Amino acid sequence: MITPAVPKSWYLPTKPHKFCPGCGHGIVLKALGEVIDELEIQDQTIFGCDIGCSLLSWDFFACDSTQTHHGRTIPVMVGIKRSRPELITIGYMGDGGGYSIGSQHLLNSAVRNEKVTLILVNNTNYGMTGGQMAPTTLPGQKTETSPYGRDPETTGYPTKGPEFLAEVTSEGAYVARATVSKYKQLKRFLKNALRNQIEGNGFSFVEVLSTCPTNWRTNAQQTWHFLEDEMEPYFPVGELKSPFSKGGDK
Amino acid sequence: MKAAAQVIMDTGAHAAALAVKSARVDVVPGYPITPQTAIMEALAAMVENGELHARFIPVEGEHSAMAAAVAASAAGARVFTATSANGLLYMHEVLHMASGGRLPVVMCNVNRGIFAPWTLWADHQDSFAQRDTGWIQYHCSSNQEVFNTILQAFRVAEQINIPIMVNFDGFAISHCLMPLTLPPQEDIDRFLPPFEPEWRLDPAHPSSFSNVTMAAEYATFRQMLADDILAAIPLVKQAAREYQEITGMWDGDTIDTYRLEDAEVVALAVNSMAAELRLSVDILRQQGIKAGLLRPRLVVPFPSEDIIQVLPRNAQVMVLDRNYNYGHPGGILAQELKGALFGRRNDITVKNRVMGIGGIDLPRRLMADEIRAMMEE
Ligand SMILES: Cc1ncc(C[n+]2csc(CCOP(=O)(O)OP(=O)(O)O)c2C)c(N)n1
Ligand code: SF4
Ligand SMILES: [Mg+2]
Repeated sequence: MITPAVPKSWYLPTKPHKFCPGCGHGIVLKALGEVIDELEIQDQTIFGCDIGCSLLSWDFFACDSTQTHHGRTIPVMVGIKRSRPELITIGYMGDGGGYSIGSQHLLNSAVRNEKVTLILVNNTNYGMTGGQMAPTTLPGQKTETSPYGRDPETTGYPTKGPEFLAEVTSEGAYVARATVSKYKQLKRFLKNALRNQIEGNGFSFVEVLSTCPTNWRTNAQQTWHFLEDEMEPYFPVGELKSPFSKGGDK
Repeated sequence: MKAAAQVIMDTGAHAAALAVKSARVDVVPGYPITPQTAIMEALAAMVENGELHARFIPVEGEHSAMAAAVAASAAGARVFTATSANGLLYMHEVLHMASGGRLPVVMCNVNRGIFAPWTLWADHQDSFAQRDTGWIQYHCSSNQEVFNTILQAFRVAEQINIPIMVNFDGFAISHCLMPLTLPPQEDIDRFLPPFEPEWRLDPAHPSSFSNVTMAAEYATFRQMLADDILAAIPLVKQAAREYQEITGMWDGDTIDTYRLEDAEVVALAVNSMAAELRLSVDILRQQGIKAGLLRPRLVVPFPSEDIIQVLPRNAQVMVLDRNYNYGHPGGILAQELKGALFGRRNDITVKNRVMGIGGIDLPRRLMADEIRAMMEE
């Protein structure tokens, strides 16, 4: 049997992981594992996951981890960081956890420039509860609570998290959007978001565009098409704010 | 010719959505949470396809869901929302605004154990933890009862201006198929007339709503709410009776009983486990034990007087709680029952078990065995 190379920071007894086949979460967590290894921070890292499919990663890494209330991962990570500043805190959440029920925490921790790293997986729906409309659902996209397609007339337009966070954060913050279809870039952005915390510069946030074939009800080809041809044009990837490169990396 | 009732097979969650549709609600704010989500999805679809002429508001969390519900009710709308477990706990602050503001919102809580740690399955800690929010609480044991109770709840809530929570178990009720009788819409309209609020937000007649009060006024409002919750009991009975007259269906009023008249051993529980307990009662009867069932449908207000009246002389009451009463041994139902009986029915013995926490299965034999074991104590 060929065993693929896996990050050292992964907790192997929990592999293969619990996500659906074709889910993007596994790609994000692989990149994150490699970055944790490269930065050699496994023994200082606290991983906090929100409620949503992100919670399926509670035992993904051989790191301390905690599950929080839905939407409360951010203040939980802030509480840990403020009490133990030498630790590296990574909050991992969905678009529902970050942009709807936990949005006040996202906004206020960004404004306070809390020195935590947050990774938000945007799959354009509430995945764990079976595919309802999220703040990121695209106009016209069908979900369980928008069965005829999201109507911006009554429900507005998709939330662009990195764009608003870039506006409200101060100098030293790192804000980017990545996608699971561009692995090297995803890894670079995650690494910058962690370096930024290690260096104590400020708030760090990466939104990752990700796939949810189960709730999109798509096959492999349709899944990739939706990610690259529908989501990526709507949610442009790149660094929106970075202490490392002036003007950011598009 | 009068339309006939229709019989279908449906889940408890969908039965709830059908009741809400036939109650002709105006506004439904909602946020998903398992196992309630199926209600919201069904209502969202009914609104989008035009079956239900209402506004569905996909808010960003339960705190906002209840805030929007309260506001829509104050604006004169008939409002429904639904939640479970941590969603209900997250609403807690605003539940008090609905009751203190005397707004007849009706909400389904699909019972589920609460965090931490996480569980998806049923127990009753979520609704029982809201006992003191000033909401009336029904607990239901079948899909049909969920349907019937939502309609009765709107009627009672709007008569007395107090919000009502209709509780039923996650999965055992919300996701299981059972036969469901749908009365003709004209009968439902007869039972539940359109909402005519005594008072509503109206820019033509400006008034302020839920603002600061001085101590004396504040205390007066609290006392009115405390009195009126108790005054809901006759209205609950009247609603159950009239619903029966119109539809022929009966689930009990403040309480429901089974083989109780000559019982020496009485099982007392709420929700789906109480449906299963009927079968435990039959098993115990076959074993020569004179068993019976007393199922409170109302938990708030607690139907003390009805329980005092109906319990046979010298009965042993075995209370099976699916919740903890932290700080006391046992569960909350047992404590409520003891409070009701104290000084009134000194002939009754009360025994108590906490069972089925986090969705542990409660089959009829297990509960019959447990009741026999309790008799020995
Ligand atoms: C207070 C509260 N409300 C609702 C829920 C139910 N719930 C669990 S996960 C979830 C949505 C998750 O969506 P998202 O954050 O986008 O994560 P995904 O599953 O898509 O990765 C919801 C609504 C909950 N657990 N707690
Ligand atoms: S439901 Fe969607 S987001 Fe959740 S594990 Fe499955 S594919 Fe991934
Ligand atoms: Mg999501």
